Amino acid sequence: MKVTIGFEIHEQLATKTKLFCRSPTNYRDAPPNTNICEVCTGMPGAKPMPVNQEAVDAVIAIALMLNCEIVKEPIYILRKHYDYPDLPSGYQRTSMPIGKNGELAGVRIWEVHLEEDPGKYDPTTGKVDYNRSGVPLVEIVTAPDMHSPEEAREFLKELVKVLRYTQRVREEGGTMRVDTNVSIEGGARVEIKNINSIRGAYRALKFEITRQKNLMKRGKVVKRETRAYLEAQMITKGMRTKEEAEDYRYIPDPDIPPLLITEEKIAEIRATLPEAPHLKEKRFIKQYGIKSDDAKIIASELELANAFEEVAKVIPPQLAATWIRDEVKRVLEYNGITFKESGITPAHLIELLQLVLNDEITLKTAKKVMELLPEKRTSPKKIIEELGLKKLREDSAVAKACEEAIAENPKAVEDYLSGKKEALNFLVGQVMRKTRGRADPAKVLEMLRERVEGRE
Amino acid sequence: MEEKEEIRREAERVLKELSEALGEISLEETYYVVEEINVTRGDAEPELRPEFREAALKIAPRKDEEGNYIAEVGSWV
Repeated sequence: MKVTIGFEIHEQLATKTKLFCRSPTNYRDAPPNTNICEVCTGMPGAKPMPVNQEAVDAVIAIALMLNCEIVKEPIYILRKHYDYPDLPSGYQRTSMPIGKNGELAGVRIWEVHLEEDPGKYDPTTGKVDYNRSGVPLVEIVTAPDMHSPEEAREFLKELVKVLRYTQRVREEGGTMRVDTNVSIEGGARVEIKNINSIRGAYRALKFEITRQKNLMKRGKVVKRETRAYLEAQMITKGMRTKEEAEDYRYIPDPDIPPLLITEEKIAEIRATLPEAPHLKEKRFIKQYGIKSDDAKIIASELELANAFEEVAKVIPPQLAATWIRDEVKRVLEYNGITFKESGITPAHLIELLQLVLNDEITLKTAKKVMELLPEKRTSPKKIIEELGLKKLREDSAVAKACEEAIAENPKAVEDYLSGKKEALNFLVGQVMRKTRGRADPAKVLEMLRERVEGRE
Repeated sequence: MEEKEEIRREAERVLKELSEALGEISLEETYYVVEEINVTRGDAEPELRPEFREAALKIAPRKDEEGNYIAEVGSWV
């Protein structure tokens, strides 16, 4: 049974003020119903302010990154009517398409719109907070070109990467909302709303496809409807029968003159766009000769990719790539932060890797320093000095640690001498512990072997 | 009788001229009577309106102590 999946994705744009008023958009830090005014709460007689130009530019930038054609005809802001507690005016303002006919990762992008966010309504408690009402959104409508939850998940990951690259969407994360249309050959199209993450989209699709298949197996009809995704239960539940476009009674907002996007404006925005992540990935493989898996991980975040290029000017590119893929990503993931948030700079990475290459610190020390960089936000040399992590060069200190390890572990010595060669590794571990990882493990191994074998 | 015929001819002439005039009118749908485009504003510093919050919550039919409005619970939950 052929499955067909399409998306409508909404992501908040990084502006300071709302789309049609000067209320702030930083609602996460604010108590409920604080960032509000007459316009964004739809008070009778309130007129919208002119459209926020920053939001318009952001949508043009995103549309261009998604390889869309920019619409050159007048673009009207429409009122989309529906009745729901999150919508104080009874209509949501949404633009006619600004971009059309794009493509990303083999999925056609039908339309890209500018839209205002509704308020936040919790259907389980009835609580309504209008802090979010009027925050500018980009709406991306895809063709139904995906055929499994896995494909859909990969597409969303790629889309998130591109949106972040534009630096025009909110950085906090968790602001993306996805509506998905899913149908199985022979059944009607079902829309699922209320999905807030890529994982949520994957789970909702998995559940919905199983539900539809089961209905069809029992000879029942899959009806056209809108269902809500209930995240805590990981199920979808019917909300209402599906609206057609005419149910929304779209009309142009008489208070807002249309937008007309000029060639000059498109050229101006195009000049500011970063290289797309998939193109960057390919260039890294070709230009720096790094592995494709490494290139994919490095290109996943714009700031990380930029840092790699800086580091690769000084450090052998494959070493820089491996370090970023293994160590930098490990530390970022452990702390749940992005490279930009970490405070780690290319200069930090160059300094740290040069210390390793010059044999001034061990790899173990370098890993330890890496872990401390987001917290300390200072140069690796300072961290090493502060914590006394420089490699032990005097043989006497290492020799003393070797002697102690041998004396404290006679059983390991005996095992080694009786043929269990791995017992020596245990002693190396003891020496590394005593020297707090500052000794060179190869040197320690050599010194231990001499001493233990000399006992025979 | 002649007067009636005169009125009929005159009326036909008026209708013909009116019909010709109407033929010149563009029937393409127009949304706006004004021709303004690209009326936008910069993303200036935001403005907080605590007095508006207070006034808006004051007239709310139902609200909670945190400042949320309370609407009906969703029928599907």
